[in-house]
Amino acid sequence: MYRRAFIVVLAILLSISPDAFAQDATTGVEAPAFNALDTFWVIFAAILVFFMQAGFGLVEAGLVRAKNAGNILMKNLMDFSLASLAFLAVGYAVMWGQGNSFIGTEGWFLIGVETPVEGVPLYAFWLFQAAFAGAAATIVAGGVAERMKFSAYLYYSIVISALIYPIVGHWVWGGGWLAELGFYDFAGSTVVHGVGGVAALVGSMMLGPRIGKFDKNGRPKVISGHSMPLAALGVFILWLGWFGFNAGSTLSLSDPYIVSLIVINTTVAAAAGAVVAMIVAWIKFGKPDVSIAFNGVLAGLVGITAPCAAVTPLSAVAIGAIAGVLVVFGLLLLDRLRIDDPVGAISVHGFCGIWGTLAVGLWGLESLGAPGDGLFVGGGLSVLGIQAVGTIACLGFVAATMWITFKAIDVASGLRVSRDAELRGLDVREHGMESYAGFQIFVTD
Amino acid sequence: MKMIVAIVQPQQLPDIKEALQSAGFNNLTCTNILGTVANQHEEHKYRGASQDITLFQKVRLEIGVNDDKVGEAIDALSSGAKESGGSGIAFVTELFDCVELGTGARGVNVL
Repeated sequence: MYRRAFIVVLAILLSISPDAFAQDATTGVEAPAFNALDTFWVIFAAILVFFMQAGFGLVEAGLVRAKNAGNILMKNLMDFSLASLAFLAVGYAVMWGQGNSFIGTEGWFLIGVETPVEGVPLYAFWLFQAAFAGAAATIVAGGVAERMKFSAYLYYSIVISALIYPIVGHWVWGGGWLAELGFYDFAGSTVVHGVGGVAALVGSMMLGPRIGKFDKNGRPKVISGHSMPLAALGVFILWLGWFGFNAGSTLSLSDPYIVSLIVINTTVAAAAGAVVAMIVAWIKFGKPDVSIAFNGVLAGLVGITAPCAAVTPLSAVAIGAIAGVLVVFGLLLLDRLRIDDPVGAISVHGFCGIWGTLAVGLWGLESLGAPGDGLFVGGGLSVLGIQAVGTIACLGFVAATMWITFKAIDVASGLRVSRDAELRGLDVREHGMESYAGFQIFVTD
Repeated sequence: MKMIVAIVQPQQLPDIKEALQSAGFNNLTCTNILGTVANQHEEHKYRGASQDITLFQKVRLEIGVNDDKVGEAIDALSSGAKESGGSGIAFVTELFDCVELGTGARGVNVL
């Protein structure tokens, strides 16, 4: 059966003519002049965002048990690889192609579509966008960790990067109905992080908690990550990559002031998130919890992603600080709802993604490009209202479509691994090998 | 006095510990070990080569008990094991003496 599938796939790949890529409009006679500096900027930012995959991989690996480390790293590698291919074939067209207010309908395999960014070639812009798609896809691995079947995750990766993420992106950035409404999400608090967080929430709820996560009375039990060093390194890599994520979304260096504003906002929000999350955990739990402080960094970064170009640095501190509070209470809320989120993906990306999007309506400045002044800086409620509408629309769409997707995968091939596999470890059961061969992994309770 | 050695699967540890503590046994020693299981083996594959794995992770529990408490200890171990999947083995071995270091107390007074 596998040999037949292999022959079919090979036949499909061989039938894609290489000539299809030769007629690219951006290299034709009518092509506008390219701006070398802006092109370098977009590619450089794309590479930074790409490297966030390493960050996500390390955070996720560090915060799960050793027996599942290789599995989550494979999911991380594969969701980026599949996302890249799906985004090349279908996703880019859906997100950026000409079409209607709901979906793009032109540009399959990047044929017949031009760069939407003056001076920057299509392929460079594609790389930047593909890195974003990969980021959205990989967030889910953390929420569904340690119990989702590998094959199920592969199917999910294709669906989210070919359709669900690009549709949301089309609505907000690709000229769709939310862009027309005035919804503002500069670098993707909702489009990337909210989408990933809500998809993780749906997946986690449909899978159910890990064996042993909640006791007979529903109280959460500790299932520690196996490596704080890996997780910490991962967070710093994400912080580094986020400079590309946020500042690169300018797609040009023609306005050095805005680019500089974005980088300072990015860092002070992350720092505020880290400090406040640590303080909240210290007060609430009695000790400065290491993994919560690192989650706080990410919370601040997610929170500043939407407003980064339109707020002052002091506002960025406030936004990051509040994200640091939200992430801790988010973890507690999920525990109370008996939703198992092994790495905090839902709290960091889902809750703080919503927060960052709404924060545009609180501190955004029209003079910096926000659709209007925010509530706390002299404006009224109108921007906040539109931000809320857009957030609900995008995340409601994702919740519904991800529910359908995971349901279909469950019916077709099963979503969750067997009890025996979950206990033995996914590295051994799904991949036939151990990530820490030669180590004896200690049971500590 | 007896030394009870039990070998169980790692995921059974929380239930067994709770059963022992409820029955009043608080001097438990745990070690991580590898052990074989009848008829159980796994095939691991790495870059095209195969390996037959027959040693699996287990936990070894040791409790020293006085003779009159052996039955209770075994009952506690059994109920904890049944609670958590029903497998495991306990060996009861003779214990000649035991000494509480620090106070010098010996024998049945210690356990």
